[in-house]
Amino acid sequence: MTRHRRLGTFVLLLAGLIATPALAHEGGGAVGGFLSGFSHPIFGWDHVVAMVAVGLWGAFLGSPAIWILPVVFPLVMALGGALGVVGMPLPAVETGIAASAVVLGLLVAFKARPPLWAAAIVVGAFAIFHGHAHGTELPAAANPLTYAVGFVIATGLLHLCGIAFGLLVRWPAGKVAVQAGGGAIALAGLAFLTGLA
Amino acid sequence: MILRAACLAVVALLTPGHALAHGTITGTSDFYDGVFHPLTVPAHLLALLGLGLWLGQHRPRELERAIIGFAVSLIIGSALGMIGSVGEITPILLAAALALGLLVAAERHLAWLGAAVIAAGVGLLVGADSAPDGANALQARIITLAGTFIGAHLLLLNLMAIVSLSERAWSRIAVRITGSWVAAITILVLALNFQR
Repeated sequence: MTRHRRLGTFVLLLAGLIATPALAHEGGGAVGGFLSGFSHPIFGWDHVVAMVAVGLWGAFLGSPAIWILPVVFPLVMALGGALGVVGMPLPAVETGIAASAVVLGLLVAFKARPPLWAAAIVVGAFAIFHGHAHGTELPAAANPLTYAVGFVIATGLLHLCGIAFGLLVRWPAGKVAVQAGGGAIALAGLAFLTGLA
Repeated sequence: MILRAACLAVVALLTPGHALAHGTITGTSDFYDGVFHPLTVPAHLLALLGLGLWLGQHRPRELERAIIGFAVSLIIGSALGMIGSVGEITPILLAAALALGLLVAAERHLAWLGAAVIAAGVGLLVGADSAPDGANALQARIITLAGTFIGAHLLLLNLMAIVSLSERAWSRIAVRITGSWVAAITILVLALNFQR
Protein backbone atom coordinates (compact mmCIF):
# COMPACT_ATOMS: atom_id res chain seq x y z
CA MET A 1 0.00 0.00 0.00
CA THR A 2 2.80 2.39 1.01
CA ARG A 3 4.67 1.44 -2.14
CA HIS A 4 1.65 2.23 -4.25
CA ARG A 5 1.22 5.55 -2.52
CA ARG A 6 4.88 6.44 -3.16
CA LEU A 7 4.55 5.45 -6.79
CA GLY A 8 1.42 7.57 -7.10
CA THR A 9 3.14 10.60 -5.55
CA PHE A 10 6.17 10.16 -7.81
CA VAL A 11 4.06 9.94 -10.96
CA LEU A 12 1.99 12.93 -9.92
CA LEU A 13 5.14 14.99 -9.35
CA LEU A 14 6.51 13.90 -12.70
CA ALA A 15 3.26 14.82 -14.42
CA GLY A 16 3.27 18.20 -12.72
CA LEU A 17 6.79 18.85 -13.94
CA ILE A 18 6.07 18.09 -17.58
CA ALA A 19 2.67 19.80 -17.77
CA THR A 20 2.42 22.68 -20.21
CA PRO A 21 1.84 26.14 -18.73
CA ALA A 22 -1.67 27.63 -18.69
CA LEU A 23 -1.61 30.86 -20.64
CA ALA A 24 -4.53 32.41 -18.83
CA HIS A 25 -3.09 35.75 -17.84
CA GLU A 26 -3.04 39.16 -19.37
CA GLY A 27 -0.84 42.06 -18.49
CA GLY A 28 -3.12 45.06 -18.62
CA GLY A 29 -6.84 45.79 -18.43
CA ALA A 30 -8.89 44.54 -15.52
CA VAL A 31 -6.25 42.19 -14.15
CA GLY A 32 -3.50 44.81 -14.47
CA GLY A 33 -5.69 47.36 -12.66
CA PHE A 34 -6.44 44.91 -9.86
CA LEU A 35 -2.80 43.92 -9.39
CA SER A 36 -1.72 47.54 -9.44
CA GLY A 37 -4.33 48.49 -6.82
CA PHE A 38 -3.65 45.38 -4.74
CA SER A 39 0.10 45.98 -4.66
CA HIS A 40 -0.13 49.72 -3.92
CA PRO A 41 -0.78 49.41 -0.16
CA ILE A 42 1.41 46.30 0.13
CA PHE A 43 4.53 47.76 -1.49
CA GLY A 44 4.23 51.06 0.37
CA TRP A 45 5.74 50.37 3.79
CA ASP A 46 4.18 53.52 5.24
CA HIS A 47 0.77 52.09 4.34
CA VAL A 48 1.61 48.57 5.52
CA VAL A 49 2.68 49.52 9.04
CA ALA A 50 -0.32 51.81 9.58
CA MET A 51 -2.81 49.16 8.36
CA VAL A 52 -1.23 46.51 10.56
CA ALA A 53 -1.32 48.96 13.50
CA VAL A 54 -5.08 49.41 13.02
CA GLY A 55 -5.53 45.63 13.25
CA LEU A 56 -3.22 45.38 16.27
CA TRP A 57 -5.01 48.16 18.10
CA GLY A 58 -8.39 46.65 17.31
CA ALA A 59 -7.24 43.31 18.72
CA PHE A 60 -5.92 45.08 21.82
CA LEU A 61 -9.20 46.90 22.39
CA GLY A 62 -11.12 43.63 21.98
CA SER A 63 -14.68 43.18 20.71
CA PRO A 64 -16.36 45.10 19.10
CA ALA A 65 -13.38 47.37 18.23
CA ILE A 66 -11.56 44.39 16.69
CA TRP A 67 -13.94 44.49 13.72
CA ILE A 68 -15.43 47.99 13.93
CA LEU A 69 -12.08 49.66 13.25
CA PRO A 70 -11.45 47.57 10.08
CA VAL A 71 -15.00 48.47 8.96
CA VAL A 72 -14.54 52.19 9.61
CA PHE A 73 -11.10 52.43 8.00
CA PRO A 74 -11.96 51.38 4.39
CA LEU A 75 -15.13 53.49 4.41
CA VAL A 76 -13.36 56.68 5.47
CA MET A 77 -10.37 55.75 3.30
CA ALA A 78 -12.72 55.60 0.31
CA LEU A 79 -13.97 59.11 1.14
CA GLY A 80 -10.34 60.28 1.17
CA GLY A 81 -9.85 58.39 -2.10
CA ALA A 82 -12.86 60.16 -3.61
CA LEU A 83 -11.31 63.52 -2.68
CA GLY A 84 -8.14 62.41 -4.47
CA VAL A 85 -10.07 61.24 -7.55
CA VAL A 86 -11.93 64.53 -7.99
CA GLY A 87 -8.65 66.40 -7.51
CA MET A 88 -9.45 68.11 -4.23
CA PRO A 89 -6.09 68.92 -2.63
CA LEU A 90 -5.30 67.73 0.89
CA PRO A 91 -2.31 69.29 2.61
CA ALA A 92 0.59 67.21 3.96
CA VAL A 93 -0.71 63.82 2.79
CA GLU A 94 2.64 62.04 3.16
CA THR A 95 3.18 63.62 6.59
CA GLY A 96 -0.29 62.47 7.64
CA ILE A 97 0.46 58.91 6.51
CA ALA A 98 3.78 58.80 8.38
CA ALA A 99 2.17 60.41 11.45
CA SER A 100 -0.53 57.73 11.39
CA ALA A 101 2.14 55.04 11.87
CA VAL A 102 3.72 57.00 14.75
CA VAL A 103 0.43 57.70 16.56
CA LEU A 104 -1.18 54.28 16.02
CA GLY A 105 2.09 52.52 16.90
CA LEU A 106 2.36 54.50 20.15
CA LEU A 107 -1.29 53.81 21.00
CA VAL A 108 -0.57 50.07 20.68
CA ALA A 109 2.77 50.29 22.52
CA PHE A 110 1.20 52.11 25.48
CA LYS A 111 -1.96 49.97 25.52
CA ALA A 112 -4.19 53.04 25.09
CA ARG A 113 -7.86 52.21 25.66
CA PRO A 114 -10.00 55.21 24.67
CA PRO A 115 -13.77 54.85 24.16
CA LEU A 116 -14.74 53.16 20.91
CA TRP A 117 -16.00 56.37 19.28
CA ALA A 118 -12.70 58.12 20.01
CA ALA A 119 -10.72 55.20 18.56
CA ALA A 120 -12.92 55.26 15.45
CA ILE A 121 -12.33 59.02 15.02
CA VAL A 122 -8.54 58.61 15.33
CA VAL A 123 -8.47 55.73 12.83
CA GLY A 124 -10.90 57.50 10.49
CA ALA A 125 -8.91 60.73 10.50
CA PHE A 126 -5.76 58.94 9.37
CA ALA A 127 -7.69 56.87 6.84
CA ILE A 128 -8.44 60.09 4.90
CA PHE A 129 -4.71 60.59 4.21
CA HIS A 130 -4.16 56.99 3.14
CA GLY A 131 -7.23 57.10 0.88
CA HIS A 132 -6.20 60.38 -0.71
CA ALA A 133 -2.79 58.94 -1.64
CA HIS A 134 -4.48 55.97 -3.36
CA GLY A 135 -7.18 58.14 -4.92
CA THR A 136 -4.83 60.51 -6.74
CA GLU A 137 -3.35 57.52 -8.62
CA LEU A 138 -6.71 55.93 -9.34
CA PRO A 139 -7.84 57.79 -12.50
CA ALA A 140 -4.53 56.95 -14.21
CA ALA A 141 -4.83 53.23 -13.40
CA ALA A 142 -5.18 50.66 -16.18
CA ASN A 143 -8.70 49.90 -14.94
CA PRO A 144 -9.85 52.27 -12.18
CA LEU A 145 -12.60 49.97 -10.91
CA THR A 146 -10.41 46.92 -10.42
CA TYR A 147 -7.68 49.20 -9.01
CA ALA A 148 -10.19 50.33 -6.35
CA VAL A 149 -11.25 46.73 -5.66
CA GLY A 150 -7.58 45.69 -5.36
CA PHE A 151 -6.56 48.35 -2.92
CA VAL A 152 -9.65 48.00 -0.70
CA ILE A 153 -9.09 44.23 -0.46
CA ALA A 154 -5.34 44.60 0.17
CA THR A 155 -6.07 47.13 2.92
CA GLY A 156 -8.54 44.73 4.53
CA LEU A 157 -6.05 41.86 4.37
CA LEU A 158 -3.37 44.01 6.00
CA HIS A 159 -5.81 44.76 8.83
CA LEU A 160 -6.36 41.02 9.10
CA CYS A 161 -2.58 40.48 9.48
CA GLY A 162 -2.59 42.99 12.34
CA ILE A 163 -5.62 41.34 13.96
CA ALA A 164 -4.03 37.89 13.69
CA PHE A 165 -0.83 39.17 15.31
CA GLY A 166 -2.86 41.13 17.85
CA LEU A 167 -4.73 38.02 18.99
CA LEU A 168 -1.51 37.06 20.79
CA VAL A 169 -2.57 39.47 23.57
CA ARG A 170 -4.37 36.54 25.19
CA TRP A 171 -1.02 35.42 26.56
CA PRO A 172 1.29 37.58 28.74
CA ALA A 173 4.29 37.07 26.44
CA GLY A 174 2.07 37.79 23.43
CA LYS A 175 0.96 41.07 25.00
CA VAL A 176 4.60 42.12 25.25
CA ALA A 177 5.20 41.05 21.63
CA VAL A 178 2.20 43.11 20.43
CA GLN A 179 3.34 46.17 22.38
CA ALA A 180 6.84 45.74 20.96
CA GLY A 181 5.24 45.52 17.49
CA GLY A 182 3.47 48.80 18.18
CA GLY A 183 6.77 50.37 19.26
CA ALA A 184 8.48 49.14 16.08
CA ILE A 185 5.65 50.61 13.97
CA ALA A 186 5.99 53.97 15.76
CA LEU A 187 9.75 53.96 15.09
CA ALA A 188 9.17 53.12 11.43
CA GLY A 189 6.68 55.99 11.24
CA LEU A 190 9.25 58.30 12.77
CA ALA A 191 11.74 57.22 10.11
CA PHE A 192 9.19 58.00 7.37
CA LEU A 193 8.38 61.32 9.03
CA THR A 194 11.99 62.44 9.23
CA GLY A 195 12.89 61.16 5.78
CA LEU A 196 15.26 58.46 7.07
CA ALA A 197 13.25 55.77 5.28
CA MET B 1 -7.16 1.81 -5.65
CA ILE B 2 -4.70 4.61 -4.99
CA LEU B 3 -2.58 3.44 -7.92
CA ARG B 4 -5.61 3.58 -10.20
CA ALA B 5 -6.45 7.08 -9.01
CA ALA B 6 -2.85 8.13 -9.50
CA CYS B 7 -2.84 6.73 -13.04
CA LEU B 8 -6.01 8.64 -13.85
CA ALA B 9 -4.51 11.81 -12.41
CA VAL B 10 -1.38 11.23 -14.50
CA VAL B 11 -3.40 10.89 -17.67
CA ALA B 12 -5.30 14.06 -16.80
CA LEU B 13 -2.13 16.00 -16.07
CA LEU B 14 -0.23 14.75 -19.11
CA THR B 15 -2.89 15.92 -21.50
CA PRO B 16 -3.68 19.48 -20.50
CA GLY B 17 -4.66 21.95 -23.17
CA HIS B 18 -3.71 25.58 -23.00
CA ALA B 19 -6.19 27.65 -20.99
CA LEU B 20 -6.96 30.47 -23.35
CA ALA B 21 -8.94 32.63 -20.97
CA HIS B 22 -9.40 36.25 -21.86
CA GLY B 23 -10.39 39.41 -20.03
CA THR B 24 -13.17 40.53 -22.29
CA ILE B 25 -16.02 38.21 -23.11
CA THR B 26 -16.02 37.85 -26.84
CA GLY B 27 -17.56 35.30 -29.13
CA THR B 28 -20.28 34.33 -26.68
CA SER B 29 -23.86 33.96 -27.75
CA ASP B 30 -26.57 36.52 -27.04
CA PHE B 31 -27.74 34.42 -24.10
CA TYR B 32 -24.34 34.26 -22.41
CA ASP B 33 -23.78 37.96 -23.08
CA GLY B 34 -26.87 38.47 -20.95
CA VAL B 35 -25.82 35.99 -18.25
CA PHE B 36 -22.47 37.74 -17.76
CA HIS B 37 -23.88 41.26 -18.07
CA PRO B 38 -24.54 41.75 -14.32
CA LEU B 39 -20.97 40.64 -13.60
CA THR B 40 -19.33 42.94 -16.11
CA VAL B 41 -21.15 46.21 -15.40
CA PRO B 42 -19.64 47.68 -12.18
CA ALA B 43 -22.83 49.43 -11.01
CA HIS B 44 -24.92 46.27 -11.49
CA LEU B 45 -22.36 44.04 -9.80
CA LEU B 46 -21.98 46.33 -6.78
CA ALA B 47 -25.75 46.79 -6.37
CA LEU B 48 -26.39 43.04 -6.62
CA LEU B 49 -23.53 42.26 -4.23
CA GLY B 50 -24.92 44.74 -1.72
CA LEU B 51 -28.47 43.44 -2.13
CA GLY B 52 -27.45 39.76 -1.89
CA LEU B 53 -25.40 40.32 1.27
CA TRP B 54 -28.10 42.44 2.86
CA LEU B 55 -31.01 40.11 2.08
CA GLY B 56 -28.91 37.19 3.32
CA GLN B 57 -28.71 38.89 6.71
CA HIS B 58 -32.51 38.70 7.01
CA ARG B 59 -34.48 35.74 8.31
CA PRO B 60 -35.47 33.33 5.50
CA ARG B 61 -39.19 34.01 6.19
CA GLU B 62 -38.66 37.69 5.29
CA LEU B 63 -37.03 36.85 1.98
CA GLU B 64 -39.89 35.25 0.07
CA ARG B 65 -41.50 38.51 -1.01
CA ALA B 66 -38.15 40.16 -1.61
CA ILE B 67 -37.16 37.44 -4.10
CA ILE B 68 -40.51 37.64 -5.87
CA GLY B 69 -40.34 41.45 -5.89
CA PHE B 70 -36.86 41.35 -7.41
CA ALA B 71 -37.84 38.83 -10.10
CA VAL B 72 -41.01 40.65 -11.13
CA SER B 73 -39.45 44.10 -11.16
CA LEU B 74 -36.43 42.81 -13.12
CA ILE B 75 -38.84 41.70 -15.86
CA ILE B 76 -40.76 45.00 -15.74
CA GLY B 77 -37.51 46.99 -15.82
CA SER B 78 -36.24 44.96 -18.78
CA ALA B 79 -39.49 45.61 -20.64
CA LEU B 80 -39.26 49.35 -19.93
CA GLY B 81 -35.65 49.36 -21.14
CA MET B 82 -36.73 47.61 -24.35
CA ILE B 83 -39.53 50.09 -25.02
CA GLY B 84 -37.39 53.21 -24.87
CA SER B 85 -34.57 55.15 -23.27
CA VAL B 86 -34.80 55.27 -19.48
CA GLY B 87 -32.16 57.92 -18.83
CA GLU B 88 -29.04 57.76 -16.71
CA ILE B 89 -29.45 54.91 -14.22
CA THR B 90 -25.84 54.21 -13.19
CA PRO B 91 -25.57 56.90 -10.46
CA ILE B 92 -28.87 55.72 -8.91
CA LEU B 93 -27.67 52.10 -8.89
CA LEU B 94 -24.36 53.17 -7.34
CA ALA B 95 -26.18 55.17 -4.67
CA ALA B 96 -28.29 52.07 -3.94
CA ALA B 97 -25.12 49.93 -3.75
CA LEU B 98 -23.59 52.40 -1.29
CA ALA B 99 -26.70 52.41 0.91
CA LEU B 100 -26.90 48.59 0.81
CA GLY B 101 -23.18 48.23 1.66
CA LEU B 102 -23.66 50.51 4.67
CA LEU B 103 -26.79 48.58 5.76
CA VAL B 104 -24.77 45.33 5.57
CA ALA B 105 -21.89 46.83 7.58
CA ALA B 106 -24.35 48.08 10.21
CA GLU B 107 -26.37 44.80 10.03
CA ARG B 108 -29.59 46.80 9.88
CA HIS B 109 -32.67 44.75 8.99
CA LEU B 110 -35.92 46.07 7.65
CA ALA B 111 -39.37 44.53 7.93
CA TRP B 112 -40.38 42.27 5.03
CA LEU B 113 -42.11 45.12 3.22
CA GLY B 114 -39.00 47.31 3.31
CA ALA B 115 -36.78 44.45 2.09
CA ALA B 116 -39.23 43.65 -0.71
CA VAL B 117 -39.47 47.30 -1.83
CA ILE B 118 -35.67 47.72 -1.90
CA ALA B 119 -35.18 44.41 -3.74
CA ALA B 120 -37.85 45.42 -6.26
CA GLY B 121 -36.21 48.82 -6.74
CA VAL B 122 -32.81 47.30 -7.47
CA GLY B 123 -34.41 44.75 -9.82
CA LEU B 124 -36.23 47.50 -11.71
CA LEU B 125 -33.05 49.57 -12.14
CA VAL B 126 -30.87 46.61 -13.16
CA GLY B 127 -33.51 45.44 -15.65
CA ALA B 128 -34.03 48.86 -17.19
CA ASP B 129 -30.28 49.37 -17.55
CA SER B 130 -29.68 45.92 -19.09
CA ALA B 131 -31.65 46.31 -22.30
CA PRO B 132 -29.31 45.55 -25.22
CA ASP B 133 -28.63 47.94 -28.06
CA GLY B 134 -31.71 48.68 -30.16
CA ALA B 135 -29.78 47.81 -33.32
CA ASN B 136 -29.99 44.11 -32.41
CA ALA B 137 -32.88 41.98 -33.61
CA LEU B 138 -35.84 41.76 -31.21
CA GLN B 139 -35.40 38.03 -30.69
CA ALA B 140 -31.69 38.43 -29.87
CA ARG B 141 -32.48 41.19 -27.36
CA ILE B 142 -35.09 39.06 -25.62
CA ILE B 143 -32.65 36.13 -25.42
CA THR B 144 -29.98 38.44 -23.95
CA LEU B 145 -32.44 39.76 -21.35
CA ALA B 146 -33.42 36.18 -20.46
CA GLY B 147 -29.71 35.53 -19.85
CA THR B 148 -29.49 38.64 -17.67
CA PHE B 149 -32.51 37.45 -15.68
CA ILE B 150 -30.76 34.15 -14.96
CA GLY B 151 -27.31 35.69 -14.34
CA ALA B 152 -28.67 38.27 -11.89
CA HIS B 153 -30.60 35.59 -9.99
CA LEU B 154 -27.63 33.22 -9.88
CA LEU B 155 -25.52 35.95 -8.31
CA LEU B 156 -28.20 37.17 -5.91
CA LEU B 157 -29.50 33.80 -4.73
CA ASN B 158 -26.05 32.30 -4.25
CA LEU B 159 -24.94 35.26 -2.16
CA MET B 160 -28.12 35.15 -0.09
CA ALA B 161 -27.70 31.42 0.51
CA ILE B 162 -24.06 31.77 1.56
CA VAL B 163 -24.84 34.61 3.97
CA SER B 164 -27.98 32.91 5.34
CA LEU B 165 -25.96 29.81 6.15
CA SER B 166 -23.27 31.85 7.95
CA GLU B 167 -24.40 31.49 11.52
CA ARG B 168 -21.10 31.63 13.35
CA ALA B 169 -20.14 34.95 14.93
CA TRP B 170 -16.94 35.36 12.89
CA SER B 171 -18.68 34.66 9.58
CA ARG B 172 -21.36 37.26 10.35
CA ILE B 173 -18.58 39.76 11.06
CA ALA B 174 -16.91 38.77 7.78
CA VAL B 175 -20.18 39.58 5.97
CA ARG B 176 -20.32 43.01 7.65
CA ILE B 177 -16.71 43.74 6.69
CA THR B 178 -17.47 42.66 3.09
CA GLY B 179 -20.41 45.09 3.14
CA SER B 180 -18.08 47.91 4.17
CA TRP B 181 -15.77 46.96 1.29
CA VAL B 182 -18.71 47.10 -1.16
CA ALA B 183 -19.59 50.56 0.18
CA ALA B 184 -15.95 51.71 0.00
CA ILE B 185 -15.52 50.52 -3.60
CA THR B 186 -18.84 52.13 -4.55
CA ILE B 187 -17.72 55.50 -3.12
CA LEU B 188 -14.65 55.34 -5.36
CA VAL B 189 -16.65 54.31 -8.45
CA LEU B 190 -19.10 57.19 -7.77
CA ALA B 191 -16.15 59.58 -7.55
CA LEU B 192 -14.79 58.24 -10.86
CA ASN B 193 -18.22 58.68 -12.47
CA PHE B 194 -18.41 62.23 -11.13
CA GLN B 195 -14.89 63.01 -12.36
CA ARG B 196 -15.74 61.92 -15.91
